[in-house]
Amino acid sequence: MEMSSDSSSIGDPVAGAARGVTRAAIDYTEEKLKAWIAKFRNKELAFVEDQDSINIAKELRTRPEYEFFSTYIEDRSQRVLFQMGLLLRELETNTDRLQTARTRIRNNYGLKGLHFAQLVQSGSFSRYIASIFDKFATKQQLKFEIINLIEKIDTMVTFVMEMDNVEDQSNTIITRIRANSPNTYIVCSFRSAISKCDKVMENVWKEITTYESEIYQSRDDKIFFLTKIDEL
Amino acid sequence: MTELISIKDMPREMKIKLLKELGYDSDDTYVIDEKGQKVLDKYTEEPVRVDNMLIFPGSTIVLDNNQLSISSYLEEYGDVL
Repeated sequence: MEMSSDSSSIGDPVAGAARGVTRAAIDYTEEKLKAWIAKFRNKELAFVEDQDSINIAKELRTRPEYEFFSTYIEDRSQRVLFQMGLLLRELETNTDRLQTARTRIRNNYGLKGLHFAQLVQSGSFSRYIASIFDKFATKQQLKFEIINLIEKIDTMVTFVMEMDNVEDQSNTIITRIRANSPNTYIVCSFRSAISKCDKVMENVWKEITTYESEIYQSRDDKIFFLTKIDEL
Repeated sequence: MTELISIKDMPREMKIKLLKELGYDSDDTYVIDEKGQKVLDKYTEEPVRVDNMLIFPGSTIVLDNNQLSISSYLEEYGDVL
């Protein structure tokens, strides 16, 4: 597999932060190398391909969405996965780097991990949390709900794509809801898939009567949050 | 805060010299260890290429230069960079 950096120039705010790094040409000499190695052994220095990559990773960790998430989730893998979701969002305008990042996420975290990262990427995770925030009395209950979503994401979330068959996709959602009875089920769609999603949900509502939904819609996406009625 | 030295434009022979100083070597493409085995990125288990590597302190960690590995390192070691 060809390795490639999935960082540089991935978005104005991040690139802006990276541009603040001094880019003076480095004079690589034997003397400098010896001095660097001495500092490295003292844990004062690191060798990096480019500082942009480091700055991007550091910046993602300061995002309010991540800071909120990390107050509830201690698991390192899940925290890295969340950051990868934010990274995917930044890479949306660069198809090659986006695909490289998605492949790497899937290779390391499986399809379930990729789906969670995509949920973060789309903003659906944050909107989901906002929609349930007032439904829990304690931090622990909300934490449990978040962990539950991460671990059972493939039974609680559907991304409707433009090429999906309406009947197949609605049957999948109906089956999952009936089989698993989740507190919340999320159906996401973006841009050209929104109208397809509306048709899918028309079918779902004919069969699922014990849930009600909140709908988030913007120019680019439409997300249905289906919540079990007896949990409200 | 750890000082960061960019090795993007470092001559190849100097990169290999650096690796040797730190107990590694190269087969021209990949970083190899003292047993001649390709060094695998700790977090992704991808072989690390000389032209796309990061070397972090803390038991000399050699990683592939990708966001997942960097984020994983920061998650494990804290905001040390």
